[in-house]
Amino acid sequence: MDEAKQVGEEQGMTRRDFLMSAAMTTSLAASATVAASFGWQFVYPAVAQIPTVQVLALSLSKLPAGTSKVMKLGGNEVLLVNKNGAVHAISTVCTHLGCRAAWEESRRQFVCPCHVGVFDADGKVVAGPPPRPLGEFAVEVKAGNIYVAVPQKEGAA
Amino acid sequence: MSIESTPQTKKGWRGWLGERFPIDVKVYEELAKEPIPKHMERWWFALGGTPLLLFAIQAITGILLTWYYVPRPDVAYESVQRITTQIPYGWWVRGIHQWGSQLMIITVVLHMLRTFTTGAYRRPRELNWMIGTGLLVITLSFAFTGYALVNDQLSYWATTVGTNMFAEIPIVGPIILQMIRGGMVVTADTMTRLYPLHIGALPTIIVTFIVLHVILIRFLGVTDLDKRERERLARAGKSAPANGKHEREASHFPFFPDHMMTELVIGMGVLIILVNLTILFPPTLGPHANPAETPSHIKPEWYFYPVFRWLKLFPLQLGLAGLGIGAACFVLWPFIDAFIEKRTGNRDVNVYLGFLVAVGAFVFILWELFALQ
Amino acid sequence: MSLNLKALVVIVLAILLLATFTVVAYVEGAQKRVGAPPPAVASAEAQQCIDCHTNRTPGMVSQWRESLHAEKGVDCLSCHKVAKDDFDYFQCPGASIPIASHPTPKDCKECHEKAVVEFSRSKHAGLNAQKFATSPDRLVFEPTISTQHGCQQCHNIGHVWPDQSVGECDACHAKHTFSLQVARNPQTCGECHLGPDHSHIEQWVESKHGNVFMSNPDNYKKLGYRAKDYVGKPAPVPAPTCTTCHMDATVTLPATHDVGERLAWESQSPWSVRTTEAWGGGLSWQQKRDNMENTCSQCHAPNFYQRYLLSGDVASLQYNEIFREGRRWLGEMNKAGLIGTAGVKDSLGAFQAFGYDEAPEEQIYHFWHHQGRLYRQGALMMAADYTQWHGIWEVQRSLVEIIRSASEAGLPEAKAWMKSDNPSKYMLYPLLDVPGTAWGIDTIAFRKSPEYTTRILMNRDGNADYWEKVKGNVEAAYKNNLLSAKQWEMWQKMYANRDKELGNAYPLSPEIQKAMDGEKRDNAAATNQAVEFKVPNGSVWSAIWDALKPK
Repeated sequence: MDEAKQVGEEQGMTRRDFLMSAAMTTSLAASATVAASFGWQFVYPAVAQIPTVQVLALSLSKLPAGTSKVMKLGGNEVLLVNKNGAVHAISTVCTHLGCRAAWEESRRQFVCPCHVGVFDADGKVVAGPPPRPLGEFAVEVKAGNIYVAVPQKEGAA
Repeated sequence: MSIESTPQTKKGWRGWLGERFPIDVKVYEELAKEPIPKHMERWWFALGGTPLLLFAIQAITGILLTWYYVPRPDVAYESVQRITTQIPYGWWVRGIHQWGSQLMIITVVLHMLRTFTTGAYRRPRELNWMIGTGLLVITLSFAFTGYALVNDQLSYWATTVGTNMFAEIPIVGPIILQMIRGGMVVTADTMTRLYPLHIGALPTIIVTFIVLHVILIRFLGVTDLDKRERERLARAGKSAPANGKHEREASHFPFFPDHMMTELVIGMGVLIILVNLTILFPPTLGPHANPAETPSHIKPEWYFYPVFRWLKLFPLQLGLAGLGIGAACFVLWPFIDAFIEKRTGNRDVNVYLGFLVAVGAFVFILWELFALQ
Repeated sequence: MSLNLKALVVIVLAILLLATFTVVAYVEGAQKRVGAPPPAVASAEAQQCIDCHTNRTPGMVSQWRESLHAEKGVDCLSCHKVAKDDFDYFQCPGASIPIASHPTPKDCKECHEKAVVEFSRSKHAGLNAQKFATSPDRLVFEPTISTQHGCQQCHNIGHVWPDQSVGECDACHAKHTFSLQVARNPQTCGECHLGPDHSHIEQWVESKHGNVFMSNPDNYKKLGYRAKDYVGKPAPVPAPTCTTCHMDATVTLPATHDVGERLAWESQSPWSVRTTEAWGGGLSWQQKRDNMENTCSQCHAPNFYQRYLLSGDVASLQYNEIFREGRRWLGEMNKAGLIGTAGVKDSLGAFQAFGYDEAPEEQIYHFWHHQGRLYRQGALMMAADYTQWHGIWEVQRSLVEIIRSASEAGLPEAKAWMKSDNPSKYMLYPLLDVPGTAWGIDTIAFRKSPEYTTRILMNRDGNADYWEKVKGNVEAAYKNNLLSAKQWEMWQKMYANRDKELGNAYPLSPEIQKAMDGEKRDNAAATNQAVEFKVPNGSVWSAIWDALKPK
């Protein structure tokens, strides 16, 4: 009985009816999509590339080979390492979930307090869940001074 | 026999869902396809869905706006300014929300006017009328609290004047006033009180009322005006009612899709009006609220003009008392109407009164509009 | 309506809605985002300047970016464009296009014609052309480089350019923001209107006007309004700055760049002179005063500001009589051969004709150029302390100094004056006065009372015919067009009513008896605690002092 009635209803729906409702649904969906795209643009945050700025860190003579130093550069915590004359500036943002790893001078390692990710002085993962080594900032040595390119916005990296 | 041991009666996803959500799809279909009286084919009778559509739009745009709006008076104005001038499509979203509120009031009033003049509130639908009046009050409360959040000069002073009216309510007035304002005057705390009302309490209440409203319509059905007319004639001994099953089918048509399509056409028309209003009259922002300086042309939004003009005509206490009595009559009208009919036999008071109130309100709005110039 | 027809209507409406959405997207695209850098409205040539100068003179470029000019597409070359034979033709070494190194009012005039025309006829513009260049103090007494680097830096506001235009718009409209907030900031006027000879900014700071304005730091932010947004409306600044009264529009008075249109006095001049039609747009001084009263009327009642101005005007006229007396003594000394002549002359009675080398000559310069100006300017700018201590006290002191010099040089009349014990000897000159004040009736300050007669009001109460004489003097001033008919009428009304105006007609408050008793107690306390108090021991160095005493 039920099935027969359903068939009957489907038969009652002509090709023309079907096309009309399909066209109507499409046009309504199109309107809704455009409106939704406006809403999407309204709520989507303005993401801009944060420009970097070169900051004078310290003179090379203050960072002999084999030493390191934690510095705040433009609001960003950075570990400066002189590895056989090549200076690296390592970011302390943990590559696991973004907490700040703390430099522990006694063990010469970064330890992230959130999930105990451990990095060595080069930023390589020693233990814990982090998937990648710590990030690095570009370093330039000019006239005996170390310059580090850090994001302009405080705490951005 | 427990439900767990009942064998699955249907196959496929309907069977799977039917077991876990044991309401047959046919129930929905029957609900949707319920036959409604023929007179409902007239456009005039398809206005109830429009406020619902507009409420949905208000809910969506409202949620979007909360992502940027900050309800602290020191930054509220700046955040509205940011929405209006900085955020992509911010002017549009705010404009839709602003115009949507005005159209919502218009459509609610039109719907009520139709209900009133056709006597659709009569027994047994008195409660649904009262729920409807509640929805009007809630809608106006939305408009009032929303307007206050902008925190420009007009908004600030409209809030001050509007909340001040509560103070005139006997005994509890001052308490209500201070509860709303969070102090003696409109302050930082007023905004943090009105904001949760606007985005939390009022939406919850309005959704509850809308659900009750629709449930009652479904349970009671819409008024069968033809049937009522036939009954009236029968009572007058003019013609016998023919009310058989056949009669019913001929004089009815399905809610879905026929009536829904009518609502959809109206809804699309309203949407086009709404978007065009936003383009032609994008939202503006006056100077920052300044409690030390009342602007020279302080006025509420147009939909409060009838009340505003009314209050100008009479001493404040008297005017408010009149408003209170008017509001009570408005809410309790179905009973008053029944009383009048019982006493006088006149069933058309509502038509004249509805016409009179509508024209009166319109005249008051025009009066206020031209009085300002 | 059939279902399919309804569906068709919905489709049409949906397409309409989509069309409307494209308009929405278009409007969105045309939105100007506040706070973002101004759109690229500079021409291609100007972009060359901007590209390079963003690094070379970043301040200049960022100032311009903030400006309304940048917003409106007025770029570098709008003002710095140049013709081949312009005096300031400059080929920028880093660019392909030549520019004008010194935009002049001629360039500004292309857009701001009304402002430039008004400015060009104003006293600001005339400051150079007028007798500044020939004034004897500059010619005789100072090396030119110092004048050029000193006086001239301010007087540059009336720069007369090789292209015939006059003025330096950026003296007030600081480049390159040309900010209205800066232009209206009192400190802008105060760059020049300060110091010992025209301490206008200090007087404004002293006045209630300045105090009320500065009490709300937000007021400074309100100064950036655009005049064209407030035509026929009250300005959005709730307390007056310099420009409020001297330049800005009121509800009924248009704004002006001719600063003289509301000035009824030349109070920088050696003599108090009513302004002529040569300045301030050809208006009479009475019309200029009406303009100023219009600004007063935005906040004050006529009864207050008209009385205040009458009082200030009479105080200014009084100055002339004192200065005349000072000049007379110099003339007497010169006649007696006691002081020499500098060999320069000027139009206003050779006021500095005797040079700068002797004490009374220097004194007369301070008399009018510093003290006399402060006295008169303070009297009209609500700066009581400038009228009093920097003003009349110093003016009187100068007069006494001049007479003392004359006495020391041996002029018999001066010697007799110095010897005289008569307390009225300081009022050698005719007096002008106003019987009443702008601030209401005070029943004690100007009262005819035995207690006070000999102390404050010797002039008014010590002469039976004081007010008659004063009335004659004031009437003469009115007849010489130094006071308006309206003012003379007001004066006469106050005169007829002077018993009340001066507080004599009212009973004294009993409170004042307490104050008088209090003062007596204070005097007794002073006698007791200080005047007659003696400690027993003399100086610890009494041995040395005793040794110095003549034996």
